[in-house]
Amino acid sequence: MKKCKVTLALAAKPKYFYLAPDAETLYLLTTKTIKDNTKRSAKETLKFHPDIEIVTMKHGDWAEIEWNGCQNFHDNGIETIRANYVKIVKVTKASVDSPESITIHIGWILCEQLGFVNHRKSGVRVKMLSKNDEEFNFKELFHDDENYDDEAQKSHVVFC
Amino acid sequence: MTDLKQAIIIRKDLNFNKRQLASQVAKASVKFLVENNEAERGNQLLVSLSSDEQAWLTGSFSQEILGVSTKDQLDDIMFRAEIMGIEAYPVFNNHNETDNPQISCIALGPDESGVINKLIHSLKPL
Repeated sequence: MKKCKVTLALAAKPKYFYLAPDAETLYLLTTKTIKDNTKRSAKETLKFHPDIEIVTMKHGDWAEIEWNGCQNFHDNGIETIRANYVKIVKVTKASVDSPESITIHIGWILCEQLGFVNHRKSGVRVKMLSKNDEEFNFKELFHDDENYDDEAQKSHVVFC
Repeated sequence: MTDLKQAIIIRKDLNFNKRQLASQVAKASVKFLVENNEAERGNQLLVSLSSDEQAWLTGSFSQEILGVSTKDQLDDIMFRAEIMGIEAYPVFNNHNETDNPQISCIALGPDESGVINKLIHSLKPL
């Protein structure tokens, strides 16, 4: 799976990543936001989708993000919308009030918000990671059992 | 050659005088350089420019200055820019250090005019 590290430039203001529980919610959020005939404000749109998680990154925070697939949507009058399914491990910088903390997040994010190529945009720096650069074991953190399908297949084969 | 521009959107409800307006626009104009600065030393500026930014800086330097009536409208544009993947840089007005800084304007781009226009087509020039 592709992984990237996201950091903020030194003078960058806090950045918000909108994570939806499913691709359809993200599609609705996007089309309601982008379409010209919408009368709903940003706040109202978000109120309409309370299940959208907003992951905030402040100066000093960083995140390792794994790409787990994508879905494309087409709609009249707007370009193709691409939603990426991601797993995020966010490290929050220690402050006077709290020590350094790690949080995990999972959901769908717009490709425009986070593309999986080396780039920088609006103070956000995205660097693709190789296996050796990874710091977190996502399988352990997200309780993934990647062997599940393989095991099932094996047992199926044995059974046959 | 692609038509490039930067749009700066200012809150009119803050009732800036001409001097303050000029100051806010000037800050907003260079915000994309300041916020993307990679240099760790304070006396350096190190920014990897996109091809559009490079072309804009060395070419047209075209800008559009627009106004909105409320903070909510500005927040709305910021949110839409985030969702649509358009670079947006907020500027905070904290000339009086006793006050909490509040968002006074945002700079969109530099980017292709067509992309910026998606967000500003309904706004009026200042």
